[in-house]
Amino acid sequence: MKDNYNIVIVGGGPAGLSAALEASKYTDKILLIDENLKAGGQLIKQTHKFFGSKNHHASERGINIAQELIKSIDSDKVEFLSGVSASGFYKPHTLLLEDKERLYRVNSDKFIFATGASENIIPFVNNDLPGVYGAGAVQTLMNLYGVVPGKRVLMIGAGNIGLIVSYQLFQCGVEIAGVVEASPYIGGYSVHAAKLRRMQIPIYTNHSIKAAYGDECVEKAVIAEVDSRWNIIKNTEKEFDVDTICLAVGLTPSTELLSQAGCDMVYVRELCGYVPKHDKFMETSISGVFVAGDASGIEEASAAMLEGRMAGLKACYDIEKFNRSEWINSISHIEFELKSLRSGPHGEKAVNGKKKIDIQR
Amino acid sequence: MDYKKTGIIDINKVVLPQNWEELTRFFPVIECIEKIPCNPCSWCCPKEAITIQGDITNLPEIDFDKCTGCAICAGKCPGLAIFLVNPNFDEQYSAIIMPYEFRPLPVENQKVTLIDRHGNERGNGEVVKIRLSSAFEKTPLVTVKVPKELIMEIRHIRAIKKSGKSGFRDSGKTWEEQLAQQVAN
Repeated sequence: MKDNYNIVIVGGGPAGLSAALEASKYTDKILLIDENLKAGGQLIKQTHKFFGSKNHHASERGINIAQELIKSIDSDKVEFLSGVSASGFYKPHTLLLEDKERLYRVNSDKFIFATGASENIIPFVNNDLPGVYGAGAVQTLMNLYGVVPGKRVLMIGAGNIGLIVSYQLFQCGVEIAGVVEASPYIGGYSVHAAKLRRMQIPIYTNHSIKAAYGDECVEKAVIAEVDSRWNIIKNTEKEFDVDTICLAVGLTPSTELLSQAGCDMVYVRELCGYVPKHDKFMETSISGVFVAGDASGIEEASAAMLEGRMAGLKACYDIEKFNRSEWINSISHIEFELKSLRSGPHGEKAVNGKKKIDIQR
Repeated sequence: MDYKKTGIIDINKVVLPQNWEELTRFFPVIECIEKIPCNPCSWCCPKEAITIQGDITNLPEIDFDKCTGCAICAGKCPGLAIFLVNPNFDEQYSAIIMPYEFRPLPVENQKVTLIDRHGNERGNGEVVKIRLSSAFEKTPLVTVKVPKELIMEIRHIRAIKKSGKSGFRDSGKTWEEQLAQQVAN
């Protein structure tokens, strides 16, 4: 542990790890911190095979991707601190850290915030009953600690997370009463939905959860049809005997530190919350402060890894001014892959969202 | 857009070889009709029979003449959306190679309930072969014999339980032992 670093990266998920890996090719004295005990972020809970291209580990299972990233990072150049939270940023270049025992600070000219996202919750009657989980919690319990959350689950949200977690629950022998989606269409990839359908799991589009019932924990869930404005339609209720309600109703970028740092923040619906304006190198309105991954707008892990690499590269290039043709080569490669990844209907949101926060330098 | 509501694709949207009903070899049925950023099927194919042109979100195209039916694509596909079918596996039956990521695995010659895309039970079939390989990213591939008329409908199986006992192969280990093994690995 030193006081001064070339680069400090906050968050050891796919974006932070990729940033560290890329940066360690060109510079040393890199600090990577994560508030969890293990690096890898959400990757370490992902037992399914990833989409994307060969370069971003497609077809590999998320857990293995995390392992590979961690293994390829040179520990002489990157110091990793686990169980450490970043609790404040002070301009121009001081970050306040805390672990169980103490509060301390580190200095650097370059910061990369790959702080990820937090899960959303939706209002319904008794949504505080034990047995109501976020999808991330279910994955942590089940895929990290080998504990199933219940016997019969109602999944709320048919985005990729809702569909994937339903499948993983089913693999663990948990019954899925159904997947409930308020919008008229399944938000996640249709191949994920197809897997659930052939396991006879119903998907209720145009439905939302109305209430949970139970004495001490969830015993029953009530859903109802919703109209195009998501208002509940009377007398369309359906009841399910379930002991678990799993919420997969979206994520919000975790950008508190960036906001506190004084970055220009904008609310962008497509990116699911307040995000810092940034240029194509992921540098925010404050020079030397970068953002990457879900903190820059909710997307997939493949995009997070590419954004992390971009931020890592640019931070290094500013410090070391390595070979210019190599620099141009690397960034145009990453730009090309990001663009390709965001082509197609599922990438539209990200493309439109990113346009709204683009900084031209 | 119907599949975006139901999650069930229309098989008529899937490209099949000409006169496929007459073929006596396995060929892939790529049930991938939505533009998503994914391309393992194209780079994993040793015969370069599957290609994705331009953007990674474009749909895979297949040259059935180049395909040898090795099934690596079925193992690699993150969407578990590739099935290989042999319409004339023997005189009486067709056969389907399908990804099956559940434990315990069925055993060869075991009778199983056949299930279609909608999750409906459609009679019985028989497991011919189980393949486990690192080339398939730990996705087991199960070959199942099915009645010829159901070859484009069956996409999943369920074990038939014999009088309360699981019909599937049991490792003989308790749940705790299996978990300890997993942790050790």
